[in-house]
Amino acid sequence: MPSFSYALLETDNTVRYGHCTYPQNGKINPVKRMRLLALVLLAAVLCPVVSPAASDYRYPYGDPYQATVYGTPPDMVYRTQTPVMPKLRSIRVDGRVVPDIFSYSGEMFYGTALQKGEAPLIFIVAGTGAEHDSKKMIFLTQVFYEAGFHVVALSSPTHMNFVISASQHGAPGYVPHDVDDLYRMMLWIKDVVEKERPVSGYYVTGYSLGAMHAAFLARKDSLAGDFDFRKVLMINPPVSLYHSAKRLDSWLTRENLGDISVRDQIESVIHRFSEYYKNAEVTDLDDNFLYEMVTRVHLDNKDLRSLVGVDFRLSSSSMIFASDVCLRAGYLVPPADYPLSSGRPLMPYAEAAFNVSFIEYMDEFLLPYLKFLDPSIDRYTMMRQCSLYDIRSYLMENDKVVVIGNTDDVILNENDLAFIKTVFGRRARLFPSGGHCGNMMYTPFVEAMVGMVTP
Amino acid sequence: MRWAVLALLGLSLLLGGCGAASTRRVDPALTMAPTGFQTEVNHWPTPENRDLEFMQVYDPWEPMNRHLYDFNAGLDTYVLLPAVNVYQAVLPKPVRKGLSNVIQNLNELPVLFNCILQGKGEKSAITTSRFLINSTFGVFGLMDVASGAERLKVQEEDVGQTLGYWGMGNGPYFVMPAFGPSNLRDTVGFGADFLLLYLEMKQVYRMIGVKETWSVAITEMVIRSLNRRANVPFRYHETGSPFEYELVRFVYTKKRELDIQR
Repeated sequence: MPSFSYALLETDNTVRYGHCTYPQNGKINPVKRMRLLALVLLAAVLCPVVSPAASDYRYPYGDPYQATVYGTPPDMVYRTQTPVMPKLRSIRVDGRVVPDIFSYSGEMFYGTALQKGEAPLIFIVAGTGAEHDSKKMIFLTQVFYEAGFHVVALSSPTHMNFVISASQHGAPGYVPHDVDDLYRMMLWIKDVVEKERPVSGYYVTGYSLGAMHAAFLARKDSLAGDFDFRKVLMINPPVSLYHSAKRLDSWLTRENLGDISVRDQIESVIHRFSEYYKNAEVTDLDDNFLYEMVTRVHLDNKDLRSLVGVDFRLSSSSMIFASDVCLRAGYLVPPADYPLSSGRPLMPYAEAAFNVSFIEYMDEFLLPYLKFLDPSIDRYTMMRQCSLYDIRSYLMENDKVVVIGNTDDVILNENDLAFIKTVFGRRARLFPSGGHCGNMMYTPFVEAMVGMVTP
Repeated sequence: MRWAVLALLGLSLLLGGCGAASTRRVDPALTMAPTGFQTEVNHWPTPENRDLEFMQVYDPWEPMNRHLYDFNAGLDTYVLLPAVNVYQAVLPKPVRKGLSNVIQNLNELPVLFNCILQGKGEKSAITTSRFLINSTFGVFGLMDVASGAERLKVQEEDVGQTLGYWGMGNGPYFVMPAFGPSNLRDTVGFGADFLLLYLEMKQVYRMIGVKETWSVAITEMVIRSLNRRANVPFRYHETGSPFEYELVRFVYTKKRELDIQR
């Protein structure tokens, strides 16, 4: 089996006690078992000593898939004292061609939360398919505002609004292009903010794919010198976009679902949620209810993986459709279907897009398009340029780049984790559980995160 | 009172426009001029591809509905939400909460009516208790004291659900101008609920001796609309999906189906 089944194996073969994980193996001889027991006891004694901060770490989900889907229980979520509501702003590029069906998305939206006086400014880049005001982004905005920063929240270049309104080439997923687009927008936003408030210095952060963007932005700035970032915080970064996307794609294939079709799987999960809702006493469909519903309905690891996979697929299909329409590349929409008027039913395209995996998009659309723009590029180069390996030496040499994440992150495989540990060393703060961004709102994680960017 | 309403409307239109503070930039590299690029492989729609069949909803009026959806999105962005902002800026939170409670209390009667029509004893009892408790101890509904009790949470029933309960199908999906997602049955129900409220409020006005019925009724309508919008977190075009129309249509239809079964 390919290496990305690592997390699978890990959950099957380990038992977790608090924040330490120990191998559980049925076939150990007695001597080895004694030795193992001694090790376990030793580890249990030593763990709090080795990492004193981690002793307060009581994040409830030891299973990385549960963590990724359930997130942080509402009563464990970090609360800012006076939550700031970000101000909505936008940039419109004059003369840009915007397809009719996307006329509502012609300007690039972003959010700001500015301090009254002089302050450092932090840019936050959203994860795959997320907008500047997604739940996680609002949360991060409030946290960093509370920590004393001017905050600028940016949508991911993979979000349709960014593709339609701000992307130069219109086909997201190729990190160098996406980073150029982000950088250009950030320069413009820098102008806007500096006219309103004094800025004492620049910082950049992002979660998930946004964390990878943050690292590449820092690298680009080290050559261009516009921001001179003081700190670069990567929250739950992938190491290789290609590997992580492949893993996420795999959760909607036979490998995860066996003989069940994607459609039957989705219908079965929806059915379970529906039954729960029908029998629930509640009328408010707020976050608490949703959290209760998701955690109380029985979902096994296969279901949880498929949910993460569906979520990723919904993001990527939105992105691919937006890109195809902007470029009229004929990938999902036959050329004869244009012009697409705003009354046109889009369900057939939604179904077509839902069937396309991210890797298929990269191979069938993105790579040919990149070759069309620059015939010298090949598949290997594209993949390398979309991974942290491409800027490995920059990351090794620059102490201002720091990482926060989890050792059980479901988008990382063994090699990815080893890469993070080797390259960042003590600059990587890794929690023992939390999956992918599951513990991002959990107080100890938040405090560590803020501590890493404030001196 | 009438002037206050007009002033509120005027103010909201003044403050209207788009919610976003916008800057314009010029960059010749960003015009997205046609490139002529075509993919060699394609995934064009085929009739066999039915992976999202569960999302299908009977929608013969789709082109019209999609235009209405766009119209509603515009109305929301340029009129309703700015008006809600003014409403929230002008009236302090406790006042808005009080108004919201009064409206909810007045709505208990149509809910009760629908609970009875569906023969739902427990829900009828809860709704009656809520109305009695909140109208007395809650000072004419200003405070929602009943919700403090775990077993007296607010119930939601309407004529659309009653019709569904008695076996009437959805009919075609329909996007109501200004009011959003619905279907033929629920639109009829919406009208009937409106009529019920009208009859109820007529009695209420008579009981408290309102003379200038017209202007009070308009004020009430405006406050009801603002209150309703302020309490619904939905924002247009925030799903980040080009298929938002389809998503909203599916979620609305599914939720109504389940609500009728509840």
